[in-house]
Amino acid sequence: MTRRGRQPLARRAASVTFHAFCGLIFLFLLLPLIVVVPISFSDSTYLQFPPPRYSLRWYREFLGDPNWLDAAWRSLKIGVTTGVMATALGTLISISLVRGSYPGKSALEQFVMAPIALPSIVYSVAAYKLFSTFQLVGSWQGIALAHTIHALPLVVLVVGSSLRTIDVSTELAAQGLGASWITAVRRITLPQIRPALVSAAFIAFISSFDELVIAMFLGGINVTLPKKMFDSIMYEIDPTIAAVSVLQIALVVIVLLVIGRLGTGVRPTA
Amino acid sequence: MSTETPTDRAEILAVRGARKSYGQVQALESVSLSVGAGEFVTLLGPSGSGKTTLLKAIAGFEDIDEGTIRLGGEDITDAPPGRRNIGMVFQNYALFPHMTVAQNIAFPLEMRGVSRAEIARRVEDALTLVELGGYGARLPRELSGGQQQRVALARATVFSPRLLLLDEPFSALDRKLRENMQVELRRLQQRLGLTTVFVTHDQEEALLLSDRIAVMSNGRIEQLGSPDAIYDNPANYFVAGFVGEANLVRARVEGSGAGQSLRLATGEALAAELPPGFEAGRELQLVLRPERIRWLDQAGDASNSFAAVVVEHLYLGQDSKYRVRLESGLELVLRRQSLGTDRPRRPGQTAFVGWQASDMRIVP
Repeated sequence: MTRRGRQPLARRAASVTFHAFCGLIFLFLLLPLIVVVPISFSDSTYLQFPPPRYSLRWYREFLGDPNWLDAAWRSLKIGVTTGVMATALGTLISISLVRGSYPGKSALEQFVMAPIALPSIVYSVAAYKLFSTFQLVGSWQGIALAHTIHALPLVVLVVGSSLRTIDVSTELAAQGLGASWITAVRRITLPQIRPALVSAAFIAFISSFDELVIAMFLGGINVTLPKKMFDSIMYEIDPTIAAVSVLQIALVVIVLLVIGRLGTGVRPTA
Repeated sequence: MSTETPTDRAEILAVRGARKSYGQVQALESVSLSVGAGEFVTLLGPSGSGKTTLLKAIAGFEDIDEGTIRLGGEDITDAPPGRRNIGMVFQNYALFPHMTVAQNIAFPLEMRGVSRAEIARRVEDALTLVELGGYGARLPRELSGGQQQRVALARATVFSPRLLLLDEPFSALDRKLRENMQVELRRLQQRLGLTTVFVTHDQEEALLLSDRIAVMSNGRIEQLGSPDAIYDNPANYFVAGFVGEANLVRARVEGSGAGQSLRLATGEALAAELPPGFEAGRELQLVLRPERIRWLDQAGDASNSFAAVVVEHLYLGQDSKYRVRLESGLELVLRRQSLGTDRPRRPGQTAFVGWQASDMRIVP
């Protein structure tokens, strides 16, 4: 009886400690958000917490400043381009890596995954050197291209793991029933991994949308939103940055909700 | 006995000298097979025997290194799978999980550009044929294993293919359901007159379903023939052991002419009916089916009779299986009907067992 009673008690104590610990970590991680949201609605000219009065002044400031809007629009453009291109290219690579068998396959896999292992700054310098020979530095297309390659590992991870879970014989069956390979992939394989494709596209978008280092090297006068935020902190610190941060967070949250609703993460679909 | 080509039927499928290797491994060693219109031919063999490779080669999912495959007189050796007009049921059915049952069955018709109204009609007919009327709007995962099987069968036959291929379609079903589906498949196949090639490692299934069986091992067809021919006259040691149960005993030919007999490796002399051309001293294998051995009231009631001790009794319901040991130590398996006229035999009892010379088969 005593032994029975004691063990759940010990376990419960451990459980409470564990949850408290996790709670503290979450609090620590979320604290900046708890501060930044009120500041963005501040009426003060300075970054002041708690704000003396509330207003939408800094949101108006952001929406009325062509420099901010320009940067935001550019980031959006680059992000969408990256999402689409990385998903298209990454899906083709995934199909090749999962379905194919040819010499040099594992080398290709390592190569595609390399941007994950490489420090951003090294990748950026290398891209700068390469892109300068093709006149791609200082254009938004150049940033989009670099972001696409940078996002490929994420797409290949998500799409590849989903592709592994679906039955290859469905693709064969479709071909046996009269479909060409392309038709079989389009009608049978891609619909089965659609959640992963949605996830991959949005993850690639996010990875581009808040990327700073590559954009700094390749952007030139084409300033992206993270770069503009960085500059703003350096030179003209005022609560606009808080308002922009909140808008950016909101966008990412919306994207994550979309992924949660339509897509899957790296976890395999049952 | 010509089992190489079905004489009374028009030839639909002709595989000639098909060869396939994966590196050092010979998956198919010059295999030839001919299947007649409406015929049900089973490729039977253990895993690694080449039966699945042959099926995939016929379907077009596997290229062969040498040889030709003709279907309805047309050379399809290099045709892509979708151009062969072959229906295939996969081991795991390979239904499209994101499509409804009706969409699954409609797929091959769609690929052939059949009109919408015609598709709707034929899908409905196919569903009725496999007794799944009203299930068209369901998703495959909402069906039981047996129902999924029927959908796969409907999808593989709805476009009236020239040939139906089945790759161990019953292996995932439990025994009762499997037996039902086997009978249903056979009925459907005969009703539609479908030329069928079926792959299985289950010899009972092969005996039950087939017009002819091709027993395969190590990339070769060891024997091709009707189920009773395969069972009663196995061509070699492998076939004798793989199809049905058999007492396989090593023996040597003794004497010559009409007085020929066999001596077992364990010493017993047997009266035997040997085909001509077996000279004295030749080593061979004796095949004796368990149901061919009988209990004898006394020694000498059969042309071969021996005193034996019952070692083991296995009750199988309808039948009983016994293991007996002869005086030389040779062990034989008997299979008798449980409700037969035999006295019950218990382990430890002595008894006489025997068989006629004509009950034995001889294989190299």
